[in-house]
Amino acid sequence: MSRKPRADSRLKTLPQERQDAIAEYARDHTLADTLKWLREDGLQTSMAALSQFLSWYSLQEQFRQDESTTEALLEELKREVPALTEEQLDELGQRTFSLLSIRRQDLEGFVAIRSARAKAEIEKAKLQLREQAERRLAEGLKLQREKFRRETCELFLKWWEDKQAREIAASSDSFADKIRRLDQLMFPDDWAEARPANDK
Amino acid sequence: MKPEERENFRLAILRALDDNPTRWGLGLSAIAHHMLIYGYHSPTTDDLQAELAYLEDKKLIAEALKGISPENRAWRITAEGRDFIAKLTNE
Repeated sequence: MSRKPRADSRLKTLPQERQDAIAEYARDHTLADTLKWLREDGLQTSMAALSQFLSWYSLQEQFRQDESTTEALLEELKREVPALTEEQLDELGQRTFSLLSIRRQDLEGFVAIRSARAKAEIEKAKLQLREQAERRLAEGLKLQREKFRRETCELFLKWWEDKQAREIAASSDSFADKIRRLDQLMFPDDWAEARPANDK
Repeated sequence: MKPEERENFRLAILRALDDNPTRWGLGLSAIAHHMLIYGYHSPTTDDLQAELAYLEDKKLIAEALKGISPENRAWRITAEGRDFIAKLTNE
């Protein structure tokens, strides 16, 4: 059975220019913004996959910089010490590159920053979702209240036009009796259903 | 190391080498350093050398510069090694 490709591996297999563009965009934008930008461009991925990709990309970039520094150093050495053989230069280059990759890359910091950044983005996204939910709830309550007010006024007008209802309201009955009589008038079906049970 | 731990350790070595897109290899201490990303803080030199030998034997990695200085050994991932990771990732 085939497994689904890892989301970050999909990003890693994009053409180099596209990878460069994503990394460039992510430099000045949050992960959430970059994710939104990618989705608008038809590339579906997750925040975790994007974060993984950006870490990987940054690592590759650092390796390339180390390579470039090593090559520049070797060129310099070749000029200054022409007696060095290709093998010796390769050995020096190899040692330099390996050392540079350790000295330049603060991986502990790298891992910590990546985790902290991803965590902060997730917390921010959670907060935004909570705020959206609260806003929706407040808007819903506001709409419900407006609807309730409108319906109350509509009902008042409807029943004010009803002669029988007006008579009940104007009668000298107690408030409880008025309520009961109006209830019977407005919801006769409910009273009809209740009657047989009451008659028993 | 249990077999499963050994498998993960070997994978971490392969991934650390795979992260390096240059023509240069990574030495022992550089590999150990880069394995941090994959959850290994300070693997012992003995463990690392044993697993490097195994991966080399399987042709998943190769020495970058052979036979110059034993103390300056460095490794790169091979095409087979990259295929191996790709299969794990995509299948």
